[in-house]
Amino acid sequence: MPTGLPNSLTHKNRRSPLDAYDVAIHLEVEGITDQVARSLHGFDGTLAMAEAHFVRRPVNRPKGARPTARQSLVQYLRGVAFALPVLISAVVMIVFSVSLWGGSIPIEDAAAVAIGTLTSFLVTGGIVQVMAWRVLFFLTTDDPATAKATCWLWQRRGLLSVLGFGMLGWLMNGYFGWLPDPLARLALGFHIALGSLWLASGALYALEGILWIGLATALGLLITGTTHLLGAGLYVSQFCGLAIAVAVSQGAAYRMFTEKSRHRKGKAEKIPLARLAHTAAPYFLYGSLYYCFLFADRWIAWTGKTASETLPIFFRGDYEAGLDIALIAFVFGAGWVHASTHAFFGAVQRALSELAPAESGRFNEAIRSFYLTRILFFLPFALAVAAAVYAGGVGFGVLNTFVMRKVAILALVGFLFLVVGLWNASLFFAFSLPFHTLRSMGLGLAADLIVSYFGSRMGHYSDAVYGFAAGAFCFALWSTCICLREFSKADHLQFAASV
Amino acid sequence: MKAGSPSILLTTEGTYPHYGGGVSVWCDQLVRYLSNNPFHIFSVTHAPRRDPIFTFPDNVLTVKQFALWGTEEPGDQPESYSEIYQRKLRVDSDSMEEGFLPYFRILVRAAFHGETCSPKLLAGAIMSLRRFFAGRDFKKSMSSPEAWTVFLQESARPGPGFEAFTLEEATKCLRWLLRYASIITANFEKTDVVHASISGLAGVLGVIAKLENGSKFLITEHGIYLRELYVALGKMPESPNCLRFLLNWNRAIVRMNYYFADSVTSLGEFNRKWQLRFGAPEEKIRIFPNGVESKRFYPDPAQLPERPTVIALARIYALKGIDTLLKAAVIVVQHAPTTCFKIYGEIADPDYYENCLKIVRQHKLEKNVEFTVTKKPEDALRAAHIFCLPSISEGLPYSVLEAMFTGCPVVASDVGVVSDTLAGTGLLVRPNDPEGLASQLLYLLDGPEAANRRARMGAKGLARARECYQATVTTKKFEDLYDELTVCQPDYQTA
Repeated sequence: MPTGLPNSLTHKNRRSPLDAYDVAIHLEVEGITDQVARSLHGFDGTLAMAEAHFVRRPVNRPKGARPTARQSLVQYLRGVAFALPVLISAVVMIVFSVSLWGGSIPIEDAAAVAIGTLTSFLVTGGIVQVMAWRVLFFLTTDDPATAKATCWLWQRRGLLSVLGFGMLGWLMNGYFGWLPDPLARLALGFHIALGSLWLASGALYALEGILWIGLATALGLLITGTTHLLGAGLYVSQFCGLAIAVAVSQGAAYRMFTEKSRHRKGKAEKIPLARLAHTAAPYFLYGSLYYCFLFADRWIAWTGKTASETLPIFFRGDYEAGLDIALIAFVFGAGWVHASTHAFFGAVQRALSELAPAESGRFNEAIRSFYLTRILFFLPFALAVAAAVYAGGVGFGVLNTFVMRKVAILALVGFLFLVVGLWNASLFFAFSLPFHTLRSMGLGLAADLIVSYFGSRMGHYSDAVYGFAAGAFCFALWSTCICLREFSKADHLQFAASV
Repeated sequence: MKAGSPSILLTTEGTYPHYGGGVSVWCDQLVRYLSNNPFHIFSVTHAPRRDPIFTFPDNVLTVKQFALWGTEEPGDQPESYSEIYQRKLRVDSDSMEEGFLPYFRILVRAAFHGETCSPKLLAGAIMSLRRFFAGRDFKKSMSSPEAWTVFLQESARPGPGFEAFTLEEATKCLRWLLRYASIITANFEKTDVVHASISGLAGVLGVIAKLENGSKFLITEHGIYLRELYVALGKMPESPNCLRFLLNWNRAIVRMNYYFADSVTSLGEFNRKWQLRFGAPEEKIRIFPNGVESKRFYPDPAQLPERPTVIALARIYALKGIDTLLKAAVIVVQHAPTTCFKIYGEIADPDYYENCLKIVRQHKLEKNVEFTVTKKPEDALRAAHIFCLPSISEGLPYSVLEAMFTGCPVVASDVGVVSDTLAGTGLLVRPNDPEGLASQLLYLLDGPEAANRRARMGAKGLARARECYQATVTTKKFEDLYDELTVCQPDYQTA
């Protein structure tokens, strides 16, 4: 190509032209009008000049790059960061015996705090999922102002649900007399305070403000510890800490939304109830089922009597300690879920960019094989983490009874399977197949309830943990089978999910 | 409104009444001046949930927004959710095999083969799909495994000009097609005339209305849709296959629109030339320029400041050539150091704006250049010695006409139909030519004769504007055209 020609003909700083019209239009944009083409370049007009110079060039397609070890590590740490508040709380609890909820408190109080904590998760779990689903939709469709307004709408709905269920529980407690008044008030207090915290954290999750969640938790813990050291009662300190954590989380979410929406005002979406009920149901049910699954065995263990306990619901410290230790291993698993999901879609993208439409069978095979390899590599990693956590628990003297060790071992096994199940669930949601999550998690929950109940009622209350392990196993196995089946048509799945 | 006046469905795409710009101003004028005609507005927008930025006169009876992107369910949906659900249930292999896949394949082929696709065949497929989607769900059909398989089959043997496809490109292209084809499901008012303000997707409604109701179909192009698409594709980071797919799809649509249109109006010769190249039948094209309200835009020499002032009225993005004006300003200021350049316009491209500011800082033009906005362009023009249009692509910019009406001399790039409009009453330069632009600006700014030159040029421009570009006159032409079209009996052939 001779020098001195317009950029449209040298293709400097622009893509290869599609046809002669493309060249002609870009010539005009550079000032080569018909008159200029005639007088300066000797053509009949711009189009004639373009036709004379148009050359189709072969396309150079860059191959999809594989993620480096560093990128994979970053993704893993991001995944771990999602579970940061749990990790911070668990570590602070073990080291300093104080937390945003719980601590060294009488066993009756512990039951009340535990009830408040569990109900806060159960009430907000579904709402947080629906809120995150709507907020993410608007954020990904470049409408942060509507995302912000919709988020506050669901925050309000969530708060109303927390208060509504709290009052309902209070009234029912008054009628049935499950807990005496001071304990009922304590349970209600934690139900409302923690429910508010989960809602605020939910907004930050949707905004990927992971570090803010960690910071809010850390600040809450600091306030709790400081006020308690200064002489305030533990519960007063905890409510102060929770209030600060809620305020920081809400403030951070508000700021992030405002920055994203550039101070534009949006209107919260209004979906007719029937439509909302149908479209939001999978997300709501997933959030609710997840926490039901996570806490079912505890609830059953707490209600299984071994002695003459005075309360119908009795907090089991040794059972909880075993589960808490196992939870540390789950944090590392959460990192793996995040990194694996990222790697999975990286592999999907690479295969898409390298294979032709006629090779969809090869694409599906590549995706299935990547998926299976990832799970196979996870198992030894998860076992090593579980062994290390268990050894740490025993070594530091935290797991000092048989019940604690038994619960820890079975919970570690349960969490291992739960991680696999959750990975599958994240893939189902990414492929717009939420009902597969509900089916497999529903099956897991059913197994959990049956085994936990009969185990704890026919044997020791701590045998409820077998239910957790069995449920997690069913969840993982069933969801893995569905994944393998669905990935035989992964080419279509990825298209349908991208619509 | 006058009884018996034809009812009009005015279809727009990315403009009136949800966005600003020249086309929106034209639409606003049209509905206001033609108060005898009842109007229904159908606005195709990029994203949902936008509020109109215009107020509507009484003859605008309905306004509908149709978002192509940013919705979970593409296309028009029934009010009742149970009907939406029922429609999803009705999508099954048997009904798809018969009523969907053959026509979907034609749509896909149109996108792979572009202008070689028969307009009648494409319109027939669109009408068949419209009937199918009347009782069945659009998204479920279009994203079904069967549709995906058809698309993969067709992408394995694409039309000329394509390289071998990848699965990634196939995914992206079908996703685009799904969104663009959603216009087939649009519900709109039955009117005597469908007037499309652009020949792209908004024109598809004209084809549908013509075949469904026998409505007359008129296209008015300001910028040339395909030409502007070519310019836009130059900046898109997609692969050549995807760009070609997008281009071919739009070429097929535009050809179909031209084929079924009863009349196509153009702003001038430059645009007409491109419309002919893109397949508009010569006998259908008429030249209808834009017009300006002379009550609002008139000269007032008392408002002229002492300091020599050059203004541009344009949103700040690359196509408007603001960087060219700034580079010209560097040269102008060397000869006429007191010259002030005022650029009135919203920032449409922050990166480009930043680039412009960099030029200002680099050449120490801070005292000579001002970026600002105005809601009263008439005042800005009356307070200017020269109006400059440095754009690299335009149709017939309103700002040039407005400058002529206020008696402000015009220095403009030779783009679109600017040359026809000025007809020697202003100065023309090549686009992207800072030296040429500076030289013409200095001709009107520098030296003892400059003021006289400006006065003569402004007067000539004003006279021409009053003669040819009065909004009352230009909009009346459309009223006559509506009457003319609706007097004729329907003469369409079923596709």
